[in-house]
Amino acid sequence: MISRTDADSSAARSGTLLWIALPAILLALTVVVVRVGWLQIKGDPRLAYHGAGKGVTLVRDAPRGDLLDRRGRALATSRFVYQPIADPELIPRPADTWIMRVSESLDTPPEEIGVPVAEALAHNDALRRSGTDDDSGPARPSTTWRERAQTIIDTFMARVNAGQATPLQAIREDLSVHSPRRYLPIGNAVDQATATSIKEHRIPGLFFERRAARTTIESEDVYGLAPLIGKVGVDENGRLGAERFLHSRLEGEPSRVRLVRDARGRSLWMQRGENESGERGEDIRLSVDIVIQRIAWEELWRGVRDADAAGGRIVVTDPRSGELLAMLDVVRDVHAEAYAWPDKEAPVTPGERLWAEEASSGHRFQTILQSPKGSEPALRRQRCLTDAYEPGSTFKSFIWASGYDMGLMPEHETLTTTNPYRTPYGRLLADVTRKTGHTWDQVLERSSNIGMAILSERMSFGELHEIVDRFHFGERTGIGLRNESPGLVTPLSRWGNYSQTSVAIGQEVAVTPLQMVQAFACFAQPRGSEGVMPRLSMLARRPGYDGADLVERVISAEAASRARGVMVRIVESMDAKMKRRFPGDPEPRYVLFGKSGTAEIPLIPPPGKRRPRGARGYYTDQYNSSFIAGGPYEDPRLIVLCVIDDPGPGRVRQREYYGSDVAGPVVRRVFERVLPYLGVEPSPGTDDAETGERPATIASRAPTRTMSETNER
Amino acid sequence: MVTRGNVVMLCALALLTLGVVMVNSAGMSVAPVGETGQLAPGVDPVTFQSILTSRPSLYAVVAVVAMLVCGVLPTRWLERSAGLRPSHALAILAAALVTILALLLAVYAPGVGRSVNGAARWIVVPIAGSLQPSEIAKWGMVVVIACGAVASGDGLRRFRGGLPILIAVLCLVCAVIVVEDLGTAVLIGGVGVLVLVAAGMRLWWLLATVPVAVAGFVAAVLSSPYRVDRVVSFIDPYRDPQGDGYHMIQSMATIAGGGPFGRGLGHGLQKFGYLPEDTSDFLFAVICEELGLAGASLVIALYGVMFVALAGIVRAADGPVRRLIALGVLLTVAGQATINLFVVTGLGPTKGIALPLLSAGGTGWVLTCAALGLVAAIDRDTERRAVTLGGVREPVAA
Repeated sequence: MISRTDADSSAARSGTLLWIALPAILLALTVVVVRVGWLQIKGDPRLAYHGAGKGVTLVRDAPRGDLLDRRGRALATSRFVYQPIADPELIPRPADTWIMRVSESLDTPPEEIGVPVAEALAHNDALRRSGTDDDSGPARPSTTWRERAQTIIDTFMARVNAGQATPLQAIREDLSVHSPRRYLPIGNAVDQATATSIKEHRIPGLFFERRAARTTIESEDVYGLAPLIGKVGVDENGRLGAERFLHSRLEGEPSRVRLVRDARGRSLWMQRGENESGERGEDIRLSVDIVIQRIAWEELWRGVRDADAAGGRIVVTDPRSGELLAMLDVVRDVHAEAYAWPDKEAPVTPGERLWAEEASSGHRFQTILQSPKGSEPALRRQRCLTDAYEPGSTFKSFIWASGYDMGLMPEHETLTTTNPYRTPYGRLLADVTRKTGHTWDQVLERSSNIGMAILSERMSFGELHEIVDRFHFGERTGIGLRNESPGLVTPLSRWGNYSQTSVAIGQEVAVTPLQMVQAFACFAQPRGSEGVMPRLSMLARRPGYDGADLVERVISAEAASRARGVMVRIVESMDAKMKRRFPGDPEPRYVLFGKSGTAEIPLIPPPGKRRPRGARGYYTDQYNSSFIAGGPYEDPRLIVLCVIDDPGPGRVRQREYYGSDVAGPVVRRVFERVLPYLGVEPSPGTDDAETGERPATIASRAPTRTMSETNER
Repeated sequence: MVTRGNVVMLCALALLTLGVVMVNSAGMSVAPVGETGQLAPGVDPVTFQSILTSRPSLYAVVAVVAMLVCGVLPTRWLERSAGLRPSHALAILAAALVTILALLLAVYAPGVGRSVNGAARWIVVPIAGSLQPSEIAKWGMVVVIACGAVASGDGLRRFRGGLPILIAVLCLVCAVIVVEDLGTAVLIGGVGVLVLVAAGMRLWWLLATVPVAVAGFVAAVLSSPYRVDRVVSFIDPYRDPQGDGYHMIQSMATIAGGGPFGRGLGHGLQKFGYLPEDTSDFLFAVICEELGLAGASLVIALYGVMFVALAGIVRAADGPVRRLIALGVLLTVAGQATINLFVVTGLGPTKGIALPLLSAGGTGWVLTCAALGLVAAIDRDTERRAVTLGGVREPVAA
């Protein structure tokens, strides 16, 4: 029986116990609250990783915008395809029958299906075995007391020493290594009808995933437009060309719905505020016109074959807006030797010198650097963009017009120099023409090297260099495509007498076709805007675009008009030669103005190589022949530049390798086909014009009229 | 005037109500929806009405009734155990022990016992469904130890008195429970020893048993590979995130997903198959996820207020038996809650022990409420006696 004293003692002991227990309990509860707060507010990235799998974001791709030509014709479009996906965990065993069935359904060789499936099945089987055999994966408890205790101690010590438990990276790796493969793309994507048909067979473990796929219009490599259009990767990201340059505008905004799923993968509900509606990418009109491109393609190939050339380039632009209407680069297989470039570090040998001397005549070498990445059209270099060339006499027009502006070409001066001509610093120059006594107009018309050298002598080094800079030679046009070459201009610090003369005749300067057509546009502006140069664009301009924000004046209107007038006679001369060579060609209907150029091809060693000792700076009897023209004369709508790379030896022997011989006809034919397509009326005075006058008559009158107009102003 | 007993019952009622709501929320499942958006036949959506008519609501009603009934029971008779002859006390002790052991062993009896998830912890009861004998043992042992300790009187201070018998009883019960449920065994053992200390057992005897208890605990852990796994996964749950560490990681991830104010009632994600035992052992994690830190703090606050009120009742209890019983109830509820909260928040190794008054479990709810009702009755009788003797009553709340 309990006494009163015992009862008091019990009360006291209970009280003491409560003094200890209650604060301990309340402290424990406080610790729990703090712990909850820590987990919720500060958190642990590893927990976020494990909690992240509760939802799944369903992404429905929005179609990528189309690339269109300037008239809205599709160049590259997107469509949806269905990629077969295998879930190896659901494939019945043995898998042979399944593989054959899927192979027949997808019309794919069995080995293309079987190999990846067999690998995945082997991986999953190995994983299962390792899970039961305890030979990998997380350590299992040992069988003896001692080992179990050791496991606990080891884990504790590892935790203490590492400072924190298994890091997130290790968890991820562990999960990836120890997770069975359940997503295996197999075979090629199929269209919707095929996918639906295969689904009806209910093949276990075979699913289809909808994906967007890019389709580029397939028509003779879109007449050489592939490098300009470019390419998208499997992820629909623009990788090359306009697809890359315009990716941010072309790519659609996919719709996203975040669904919460339970552990069995069943959808529960959509996450609040995590639904985004998608939007199709923007359709973009490029400035190119597929019809003009096709015309350029046909005429360039004709010209390249006629000239037995190794390649050719052509660019067609609208001089008013700077829009690029066509750009084409062709390379032709010709019997040409590879040049034997010695390694950069290789010592010079007597044989090398002999070979260089022997190679200086009677050989045709490969002058076009081959595209390194195989035959994929979009991967090929677009040489109008990437490969600079010596413009030769076509460059004289810019210097000539600038000299006119500077007042260095008196109206009634006649140059009565000898041919050849020795410059004050001793360089000997000769003209192709045998005529002597040039007026300044005739210097440009006859493409007189001597006249241009004299003009350059009247300029300072800085003035001539500034002219080259003003036309933006030596800098990229910024058209938006990758790998554009800036060309090559000798810096003023290294500029000398030789440079002064060479640049005036289009040597010692390298330009891209794009730079040339951009600069030449200053001669082809409508009345009142002559002398301004637009910036090139590969995007179609907005309707009503006046170009005011993207032009700059490079020469005076007076100089531009005068040069344009003189260059009409150059085209007239070219037309006469062309008529002799191609008597079946129709009479020209448009008066053009233009300039030809012929330049030797410099020996430029590829990376890691050097020029052989004793070799000249140029290939022998191998040229780049070009012709650039604008038209029609009275209201220019086009500029066309054609470069014929390395006309064949036969043409060289016949001395028919000049720009006006091989490139001029290409330019003329392009004008004669494109201008009607654009709805441009034939020039006044041509056969097709209402006046009924002969074109030559008009052409002959044109510069005279222009000069008189100029004089009137 | 609100007495301590009333505070305890109000807190219990609040926790129980929250428990009903959260158990229903955690018990949500995914039902297939037809093309017309209609639920499949036989599948009922969760509505207010469905919650009211759910099984947890029924258990809650029974628990509240048990609390109210126990709350009006006279408790003075409990003190009569102090006047029992030792032989009578021993006989009653033996009868109680046999009853408890019979219930505990009944889980292994074919046709009577029921296993869930491989653990044989339930016995089938007609109409009521099933009950957990360990719950009965848990609360029964509190009363048995309290009464036995008081009946032992001075013998509790002598090593050869009644103490060895009580210790033996405690050990026997714990030994039977530990086979299936180490956590409950530790809880019963710990509470029993503390009640014995409060009843008069010398402290150094307790200290002397500590090494034995620790050794027993270590042996219990090392003898079972899955307990080793649990200890290892407690030290580093990320060592095997898809295996042994899964429970703890998912529980902590559930809590972390809640934020200060939670995802909203019913909007938890982890309960959909990711968090195991979401309606029972890990219900607190669901509360944290859906109600956030605010909801978790509310739960903790309710427990805190209840424990403080219980401590007040213990201090004021009139009579050693009632005091020890009240103390045992306090220590049992507080110990169980603390262990559960530590496990759920990753502060302790994973242990299958429920959160009192919240985790789903009819037996647990009913017996816990009954025990708390008994404590409220003790408080009421204490108050009445104080009034009768002209003592000063201390209001605990206005």
